[in-house]
Amino acid sequence: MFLSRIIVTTFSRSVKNSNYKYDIKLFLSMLSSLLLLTSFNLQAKELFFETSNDQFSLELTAPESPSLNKIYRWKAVLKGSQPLSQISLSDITISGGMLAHGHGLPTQPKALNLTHNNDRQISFDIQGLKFQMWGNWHLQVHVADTQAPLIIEFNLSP
Amino acid sequence: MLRIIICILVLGALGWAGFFNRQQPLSWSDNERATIASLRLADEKTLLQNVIHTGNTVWDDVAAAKLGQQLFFDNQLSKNQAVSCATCHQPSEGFADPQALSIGISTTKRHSPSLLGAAFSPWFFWDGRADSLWAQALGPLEDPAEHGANRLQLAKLIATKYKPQYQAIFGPISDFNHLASHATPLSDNPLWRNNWQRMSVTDQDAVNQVFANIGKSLAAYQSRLIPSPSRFDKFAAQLLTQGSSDILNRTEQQGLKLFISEEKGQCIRCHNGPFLTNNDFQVTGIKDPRLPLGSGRLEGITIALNSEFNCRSPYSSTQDKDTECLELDYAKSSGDELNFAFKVPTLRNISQTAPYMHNGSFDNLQQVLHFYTRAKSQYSDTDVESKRDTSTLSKQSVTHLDIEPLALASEQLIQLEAFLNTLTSPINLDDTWLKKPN
Repeated sequence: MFLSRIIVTTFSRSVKNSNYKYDIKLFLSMLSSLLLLTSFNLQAKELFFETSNDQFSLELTAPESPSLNKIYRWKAVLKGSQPLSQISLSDITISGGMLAHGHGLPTQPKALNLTHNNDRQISFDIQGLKFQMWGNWHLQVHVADTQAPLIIEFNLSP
Repeated sequence: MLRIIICILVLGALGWAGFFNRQQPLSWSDNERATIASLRLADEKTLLQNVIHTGNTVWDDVAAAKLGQQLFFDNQLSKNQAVSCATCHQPSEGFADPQALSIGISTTKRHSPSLLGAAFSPWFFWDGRADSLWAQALGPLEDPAEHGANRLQLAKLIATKYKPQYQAIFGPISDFNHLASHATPLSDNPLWRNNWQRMSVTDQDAVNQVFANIGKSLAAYQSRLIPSPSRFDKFAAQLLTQGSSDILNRTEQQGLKLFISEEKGQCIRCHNGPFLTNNDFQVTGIKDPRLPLGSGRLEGITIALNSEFNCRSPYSSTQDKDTECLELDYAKSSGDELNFAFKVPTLRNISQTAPYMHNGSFDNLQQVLHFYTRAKSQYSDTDVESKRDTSTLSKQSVTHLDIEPLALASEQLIQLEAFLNTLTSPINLDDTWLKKPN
């Protein structure tokens, strides 16, 4: 149940931000991703999120399905339309919360272990993530001083 | 005549429908069942795997727990030889205090919460100023209003009265005979502070180590204070395995439905997990007219980050601080959400632990539920304006509220209270652990 909500949420968000032609390709790619992801998750219990804006695309991997009141480290891969060689840890900030409840994250997660994979791709960890309530969450990753954060949304349910 | 007959028939049908409805067992959705499962106490073995024992390698050591039990009930761990941990955490009261504000050496600032399930929390005190159970235990010992003792006095007590037990667990202990009688860096007593400053760094460290071990022994004892399955847990087990259960009556089950409803009761937002707390800090807006404004978690986390006994300290028995001190390292330390935020308490044995809230201002559960159904900050603009002159508080900081009016009917409040009363059960320990040892 949890996984399907993530996929639907991620897909809805992507569709909102793209044109029709791209939607079909995206849908097919997500469908195949869904199949791969589902079979993958049955064993590894990893969760995968992706989002993008005009400048970046972000992939987040949670090593296990999040539960409440535990601290997690998620893996992130950031791809840029421009070179990312100047990006450092201090350029990345993490925030989030529950809009319906009117509060932010209970912790202050930080980006750690940044690696420049190539000119337009970096990977890093998001350490210190915690969720203290069931419901709809959003997570925002700000990169440098860009205007729009990268946002993922998901539902945590028992 | 026909109208009268029709009316009688309609009323009869409605009455029958109502009666029939009351006889039907409540149905539970998959999501409700999953939520109920998440609230259920696991078996003892599974529970113990989830104890948070940051920096305390003796947390499950029986000898340490026995020493901790002796210390817990010992009045000599106080300035006037009349206050013990059990003074404010009374076994007969669910290890809480029946008084709103506890009385140690003098009246304390806040209500003494229950210790049941304390070992499953990463944060302690209402404002979260300690990041481990053992560090928490040290605070009241030197608080002038609680035990009013000092760490050198306590180290000397251990070196005399408890030497064999202590050494069997922690190794050799100095007798500290070359030092003054009383010393601590944290006191408004200038003599005690001066004595501390005159001690060598080596002696200070030795005293601090014994002091920390007192906390670790007390934590080993308190880690055993775990409730046995309550009527709710038995209901949940039967519901989840057999599909239905009448262990809880209809009113109690209706209360449970409200409790876990995100839209109606909303209790589940903060009171989740097997101890019915997320151990987080929330702003309820409850003001205590007897005390000045305090800043709750905002103040608590600042103290925790600077504590000489936090997870990062040399007295914390952590192997790898980068992986074991995550709660401290990634704690939120700023923002309006922390101002006046206090820890969400466990609801286990809640019927035994009145009065309620961080200031003990509600005498019974009806008052608590009545407050939540109207949910409005008790802080006024006047409070904010008067405080603004002397602190950095902003008006916005007081107006953040984590609760909203539930607007529940009186019948629903009765149902919720009935459910809360199903969470009480005996502590899962032999009685010999629950009193002063011989």
